[in-house]
Formats: sequence, structure tokens, C-alpha cells
Amino acid sequence: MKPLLYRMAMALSFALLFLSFKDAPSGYKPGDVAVDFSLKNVDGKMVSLKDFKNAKGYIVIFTCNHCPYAKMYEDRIINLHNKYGAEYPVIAINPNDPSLEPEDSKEEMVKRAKSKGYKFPYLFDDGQKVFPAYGATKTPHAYLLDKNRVVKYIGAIDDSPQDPNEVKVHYLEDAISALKQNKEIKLSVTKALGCSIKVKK
Amino acid sequence: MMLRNKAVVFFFFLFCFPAAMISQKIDDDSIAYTFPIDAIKQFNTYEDLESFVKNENPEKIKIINFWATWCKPCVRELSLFELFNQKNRGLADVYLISLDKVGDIEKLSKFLGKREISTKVGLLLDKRYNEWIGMVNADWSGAIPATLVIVNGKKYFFEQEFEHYHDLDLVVKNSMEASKIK
Repeated sequence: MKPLLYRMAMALSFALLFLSFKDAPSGYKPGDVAVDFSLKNVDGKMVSLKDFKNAKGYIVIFTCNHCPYAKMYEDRIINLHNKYGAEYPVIAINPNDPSLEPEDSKEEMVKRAKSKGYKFPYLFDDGQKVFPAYGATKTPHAYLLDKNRVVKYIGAIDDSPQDPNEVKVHYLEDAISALKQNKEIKLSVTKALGCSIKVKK
Repeated sequence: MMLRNKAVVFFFFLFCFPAAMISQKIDDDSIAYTFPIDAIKQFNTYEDLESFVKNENPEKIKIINFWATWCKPCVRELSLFELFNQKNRGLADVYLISLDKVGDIEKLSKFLGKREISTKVGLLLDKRYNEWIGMVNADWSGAIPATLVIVNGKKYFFEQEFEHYHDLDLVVKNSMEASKIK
């Protein structure tokens, strides 16, 4: 009797495993229209994409304080906004639950933005609804949207997280220049290492 | 006479072996545990890693955990993989594949020694992230921790942190069951 029960339990857990695969949210693909949001910035004001009236597109980056990979890219994110911000503003969003990662609390976000002099919004994904809609899984995780919020590019900022001097392909910047010139984006999805987004189970 | 001999042998097994194990344990504690740098196998490409893993004990199940010393959830679950390895040596080969920088190999060695890791450890130095991450699994975005289970050449991929030993154990058992289905 026991082996049968065991086998049944195994079969059930196996079925559940597959159901959980099926239910996993897949997020956006290039061509999808991304949702707008209203999230609180480090200055206390609510920010939405629609607030950027003159934007020709948006660089939405899920990033955070604690993740070493996010830290490695911080200066590059600041530079992206300095270079493209007038037309393509950077909108940084911290997707982590601060109860699991205290370094990513609202207070620490404010400190970080101030000490590094962020000229772009650094928003808190309160309730963790925005990152799953986008399908972000890690920090940093970049999305380039056109002015109609159509997703043009998803993935890494470039191909060398550890050393900015060794970058061979600027994935995100290449996508921005293609979008500016109304050309086809050759590499619209890339993969990179990053810290998993912290969500309570 | 025979009976007495058997009894002696029995008592020998009952007492002497645990005693030997205890003294071994004391010996281990008296020296600082280290994980030698030379024991960390370095892989320049993901293809090298995969073929190495596949060729080593091909009859065994392969569990490849992608982690890094800087990744807190990875570090949290490391002891589960260590325990799994200790309990399932005959069944499975566990590989802790670090994604740390090559320059941090000394730090990595100390880190592993401090945690008394006896599982096999590799260091993957492949910088073609956009290529190799997709080779592990087409749907993997690159968030770590992540774990690949290979049973009879079939791959099962888990982009998650294992909270309890039971979760890891179940995932491996389920992968074994799944591998039987065509």
C-alpha cells in the first residue's frame, strides 16, 4: 500500500510542478505595449511615464541598492540619463521587498539617490505589481520603450558587467540609436547575470 | 567459541567504528578546514563545463547550482546543496558553479573553507553571458540562484531559491520521475 501511496504522491507533486511552470508569468516581449504606473519617487512625489510629456521613449531599469551587479552598473545608468535623458529619460525602479533586503528600503533609496546625485526618478515598486507585469526577474533589468510604450528592447545594459572598459557591445545604447533612427533593433532581447528580485513567499 | 567470536566482531562494529569516526571528527576540528584553490575547477566556457559534467560519472544524476559569494540567497541555500551531496553521493554529482570573478578565487576558497564545503566547486569564467545563459535554459534571464538538474541527458531547470532541504530533494525526485516519461 505504501509504495502505491508514495507513487501517487510523487505523481501529484510532479503534476503540481508542471502546473507551476505553466502559471509562471512570462512578462513582456518586444512589440508588447508596456503598462504605465504611478510609483513613489525618492522625493516623495508620484511618477508616471505619462508625466514625461516630451519624451520620445523611456529607459525603464529595474535596479536596487544592495545588488553588486546593480552597483556595478550604477554609474553607467547615471551616464545613460545624462546622455539620452532629454529624449529618453531613465526611470529606475526598485522592485525588492525591503523586509527581505533592508538595504533596499525607501530610506536607503533616498540616501543612495542623494549621495550619487540621481537626476532621474528612483521609484519604489510598492506592492510589487509593476515588475511582474514587465516580467523583470533580476536587478539590473532594462527595458527600452518607445513613446507609445511599445517595448523595443529587454535585457542587459551592455556585455561587460564587471569592467566598463571591456564593453564590446552596448546593447541598450545600440537599441536606443536604432530607435532614434527608426531602424530595426538587431538584438532586442539579451541575457545577463543579476540578483533575483526579492519577493516574500 | 564461534558465538563468542561473532559477539566480539559485533561489539567491534558497534563500538569501534563510531569511536573511530569520533576521533576522526576531533582530528578534523583540530585543523582549520580549507577548500584548496587548486580544487576549484576553472571553466573558460560553458561548453567546457557542460561536457566535463556529462563525462564525469555519466551514470549519475547531475545537479549544477549557479551561485556567487555576492548573492545572498545563493549563500543561504548553499548548505542545502552540501547536505544533498553528502546524503546522495552514490546517486548524484553536485556541482556548485561559482560566477565570481577569477580575481576573487582566494576569497572564494576561504569562503568555502569557512563553510566546510565538501561538494565539488567550479568557477565559470565565460563572459559571453548573452550566449551561455541561454544554453543552460532558453527561458533563464540570468537571475541567480538557479539550478540545473540533468537526468539521463534530460535537463530540468529551476530559477529559484530553495528554502528547505525538502524543496531541493523534491525537485530532484520530480526530475527523476519526469525523465522516465517520454
